[in-house]
Amino acid sequence: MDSNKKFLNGTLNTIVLALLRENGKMYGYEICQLTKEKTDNKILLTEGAIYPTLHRLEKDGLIISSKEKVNGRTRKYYAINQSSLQEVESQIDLLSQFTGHLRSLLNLTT
Amino acid sequence: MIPSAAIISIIVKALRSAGVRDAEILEEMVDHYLIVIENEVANGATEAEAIQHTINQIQTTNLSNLTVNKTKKWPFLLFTLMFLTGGYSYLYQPFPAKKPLAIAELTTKVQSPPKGWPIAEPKAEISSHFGLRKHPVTGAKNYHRGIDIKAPIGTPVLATGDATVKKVGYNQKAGRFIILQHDDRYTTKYFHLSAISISEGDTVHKGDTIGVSGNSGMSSAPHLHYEIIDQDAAIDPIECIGV
Repeated sequence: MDSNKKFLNGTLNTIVLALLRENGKMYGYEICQLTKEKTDNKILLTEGAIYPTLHRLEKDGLIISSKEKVNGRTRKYYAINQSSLQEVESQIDLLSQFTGHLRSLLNLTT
Repeated sequence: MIPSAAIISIIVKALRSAGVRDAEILEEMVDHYLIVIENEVANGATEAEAIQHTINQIQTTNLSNLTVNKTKKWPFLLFTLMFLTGGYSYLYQPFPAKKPLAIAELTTKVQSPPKGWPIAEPKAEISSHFGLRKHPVTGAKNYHRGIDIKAPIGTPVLATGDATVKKVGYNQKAGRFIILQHDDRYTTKYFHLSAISISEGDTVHKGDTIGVSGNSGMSSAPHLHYEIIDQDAAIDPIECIGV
């Protein structure tokens, strides 16, 4: 987990953006769960990581939040800010390319 | 089944102990941990287990990135928001930081104001109510932090809830007085007594006689002045009695 955490530091923003782009509107817990499922329980996002990331992305204008009442309580949803879609796409592309470079540097077959 | 307001109160307490102060973030995190608890319960855990597990999670997770204080107006907004949306009126409570959380204690004791009547004369007249009033001795307009209950000197004064005795003493205004600490949130005060029958540090139970009423201090006629303090703010005792 600790090594995952180290790698996540620079990439979590983009991972969250990619998840939101693919799934539309999501809330924090849902993002944690989806990440866990998709990585076969290998990447576990903590609340201490996911929420600050969401808040920062919102502050930067890349995502927008909305609140909904669910079971009598307020749930905060996040979605890609459509007017920043181009920048979101380019960030995801960059990380995707970088991952490719990493693979070749580590001599992995893609 | 533990009331959801109680669970929310426990989560907020843990989060605040972990340093999370921002109201909007608190609201979001409460939702998060409620889902965690609901899922654990759905998977067969008892509510108490799920809550305990969640509290442990809050205590062991590094939430330092969530603890930045944005502005000071948010706590008030949270209070308003929670009150309007969910009626969680006692959600927002300042909690002492870093106090270890004992789940058994938390689930059995959701803090509420003491409900008892403070004097052994159930039908005693209230001579002055809580709130703005003209002071009976000074004549100045002021805010009355409690209620005055008319009572002959010597009427037994009763603890309005289980408590420890925080302070007993005498001063010119309050006369002989007692302050009881009920939990980490509520204190009650009893002024103008003629005698006090307990000492600082004693444990008292609801209905115990703690002294007798009098006319000591700044008082124009024999009466008991009774206050309930919610942290630092006086609240109207009439709204608490018997609730």
